Amino acid sequence: MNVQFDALQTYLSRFDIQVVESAASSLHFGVRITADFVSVSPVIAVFQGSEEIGREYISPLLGLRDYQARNLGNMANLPREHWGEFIRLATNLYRCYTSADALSVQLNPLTLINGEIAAVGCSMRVDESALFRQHHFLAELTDETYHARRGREVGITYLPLKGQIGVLSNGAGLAMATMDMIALYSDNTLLAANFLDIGNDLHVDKLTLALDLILSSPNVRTILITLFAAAHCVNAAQAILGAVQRDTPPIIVFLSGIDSDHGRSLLDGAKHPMLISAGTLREATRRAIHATTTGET
Amino acid sequence: MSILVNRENFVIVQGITGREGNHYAHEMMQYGTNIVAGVSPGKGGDWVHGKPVFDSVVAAVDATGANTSVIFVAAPTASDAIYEAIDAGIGLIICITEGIPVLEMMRIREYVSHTRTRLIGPNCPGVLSPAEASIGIIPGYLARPGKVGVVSRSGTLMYEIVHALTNVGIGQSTIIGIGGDPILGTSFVDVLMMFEEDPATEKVVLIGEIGGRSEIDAAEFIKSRMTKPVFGYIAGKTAPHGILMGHAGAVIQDEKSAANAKIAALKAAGVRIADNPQELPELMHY
Repeated sequence: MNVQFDALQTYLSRFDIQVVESAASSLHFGVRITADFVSVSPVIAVFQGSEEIGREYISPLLGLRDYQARNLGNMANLPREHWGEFIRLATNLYRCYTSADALSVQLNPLTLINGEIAAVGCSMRVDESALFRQHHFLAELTDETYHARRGREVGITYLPLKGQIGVLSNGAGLAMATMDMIALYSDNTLLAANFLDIGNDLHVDKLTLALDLILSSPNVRTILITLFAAAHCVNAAQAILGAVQRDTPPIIVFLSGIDSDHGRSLLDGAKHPMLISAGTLREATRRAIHATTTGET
Repeated sequence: MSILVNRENFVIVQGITGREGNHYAHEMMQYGTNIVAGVSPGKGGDWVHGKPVFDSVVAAVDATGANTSVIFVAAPTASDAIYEAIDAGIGLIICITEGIPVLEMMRIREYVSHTRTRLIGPNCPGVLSPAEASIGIIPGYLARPGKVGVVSRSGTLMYEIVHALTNVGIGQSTIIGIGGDPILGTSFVDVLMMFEEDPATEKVVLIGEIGGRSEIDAAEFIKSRMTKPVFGYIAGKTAPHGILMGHAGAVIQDEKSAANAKIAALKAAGVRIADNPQELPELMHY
């Protein structure tokens, strides 16, 4: 998640990094530190526009070494008399990166003011997994929607998308697979309206919120629920029946796991006019596509 | 036969007094896993399911000779739990915990690379060798003994595929969830190497998804080194670019991390790819 500019400016000042207003940039390069998942280490790079001038891999245990920053200053053609100042800036930027649990932090471009290097622009993205120890950023995160936040607070991952069929699954992989099958069996004429991973425990309140989130999108014409309920198929069926409203678009349910026959017969026995179950992922997806194109279950 | 997990694992459960640790410790014991102790700082001297609880991993290892640890502690303290297990000389650590920060995992990966410990996960469902032992949270009733090795980044999707295999009579040698995070202790390639060398594994199922390049690395390994047939499924063909799809590692950063690029690379390496995860067994012609 990205941190808002004002908050970032204040945060950087704690690490003696100045952000100045649109002074003419006297240095024609920027510096950034990003988490590199290929080398499994932070990478510090100097760059000009979209072109990288040079990079150094930082040992996550040792941290940035002075020589690495000096090498980058040299590669960016920074005059020698400013190498010491650049080492100071890069070291502080790395302290900022680790303190914030950032995934990336960038100063671009840089400028020289009275012998000190300052930034004209800045941006930072923080690791959502680290929010438990970065509470101060919670209010500053810009790109999380109201609905996504409501879901996250109870352990639901919800992302709105552009399609017509609402998806509700347990597990990120199963949710993605469900989205893919909508496209596969409709020859790409229909798509998922959202990604939703409801997480581990299935209960009525959580399912009610999940259905609410899905229906917050005006495009949703059908809902496809695919649950690998493991030991809890009967519980899952009961939770679904408790959460489904009378007035709802068609809902197609695929339940798998222990006691799935019992779970299915509970769903079918409820005789809800808009709710049907299916025995396989293929059948469930086909029925959801049928319901979307015809408006009937 | 199997890889990584069998009757020779003597397992401690870190976080055994927590809700999940307590529940799954019992499930694992029911499956036949040798759970020898639990660790829960401040609760040393307690007993859970008839097993002693220790304040530290080192005390648990000294008392029981444990060689394996499964970690259920919450994300804020999970990295410390991993370091503690590494420093106690545990050979195999399986970390179920989700939500360890990226920076912590980078440090752990560098630290563990200087030791003999193998880390699986984090954010993974664990490892199960049917009829031998289960370490983690994979539902045991899904699996049956057989000759297909299964490796996956995702949990429930893997359960669904294992279920489908079992339903048509295809048993498994070992089932491994390597985890949904962008930084993992054990990769697809590590596991493929073990399956290739395991005499009890004849075929392999690989379940991947968008994000990172571990499937591309797997394709290169399969093409150059693997003699056993590999079957696969890749989730996320319709996922939009740049958006995190639930798993911390599931995000399309560039063309190479998109599903279609992974499918193309795996197909070029001779892997048969299913369009529908439930129908993957149909490719296997047993």
